Amino acid sequence: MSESGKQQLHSLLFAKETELKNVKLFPGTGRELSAETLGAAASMALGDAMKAWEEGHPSTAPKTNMERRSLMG
Amino acid sequence: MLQKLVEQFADNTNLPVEIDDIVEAIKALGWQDEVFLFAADTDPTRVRGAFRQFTYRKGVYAEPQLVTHIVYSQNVSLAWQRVICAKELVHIYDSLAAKTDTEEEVSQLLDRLVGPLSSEDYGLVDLQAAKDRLALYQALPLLLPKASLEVARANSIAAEVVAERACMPVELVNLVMSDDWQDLNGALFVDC
Repeated sequence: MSESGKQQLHSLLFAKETELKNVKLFPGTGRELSAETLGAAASMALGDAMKAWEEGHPSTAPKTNMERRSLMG
Repeated sequence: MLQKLVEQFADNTNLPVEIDDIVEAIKALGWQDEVFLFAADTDPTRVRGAFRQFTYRKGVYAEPQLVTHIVYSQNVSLAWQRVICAKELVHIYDSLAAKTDTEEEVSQLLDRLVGPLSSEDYGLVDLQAAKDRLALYQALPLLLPKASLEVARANSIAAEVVAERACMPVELVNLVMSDDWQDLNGALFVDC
């Protein structure tokens, strides 16, 4: 039997080699969003991040590439 | 500490504030542990962002290191990606009570985040879910600092122009430029 969305998130967050200190989520905009679909989607996203981090990928913040200037400038 | 972070940007009149600027300011204020941001290919109708803080041991005898992962959906506008990241960075300063760190709390947090705002089911998890929602508003003065907001107000600059310069969603700029925001903004940082 496949894991539920909540179980998937639990499996990731409470994996043996890590100890969870805090988790927070920014839910999606879907009107039919459930705890299970949110859990599954968060698990996938955090799992992808963990894999990239373990592979040594650099941290990538979104960048505007805009010139910084005053609102009056 | 969160209030100190906001103060670091308060006098900033040059926009946009980059997410990397916020990360650097957090480190300058004394945060020494790793912060890893990742653009995920998520469906934004399901999840737009996530914050995970954990300790990790690279080997049996290695000291555990504290790591923060921040995930944002690459399938939303750049302006929203920035709000998501700023909101998740705010959680670095979550109080002990606001931290969600047990299986039961995670399960209940999921329920609360998709459930109705009003609930008779009071408890610590309710506070944690409230903090999850509150962090979005606490992040706004990082992306649109007080001094820039004052320039916009004093010169009646349209919210659309401010949103473009600040690279923020216009609906959130409208909120920050509203008359109620100044009172609300002060209340957002009580005990932070």
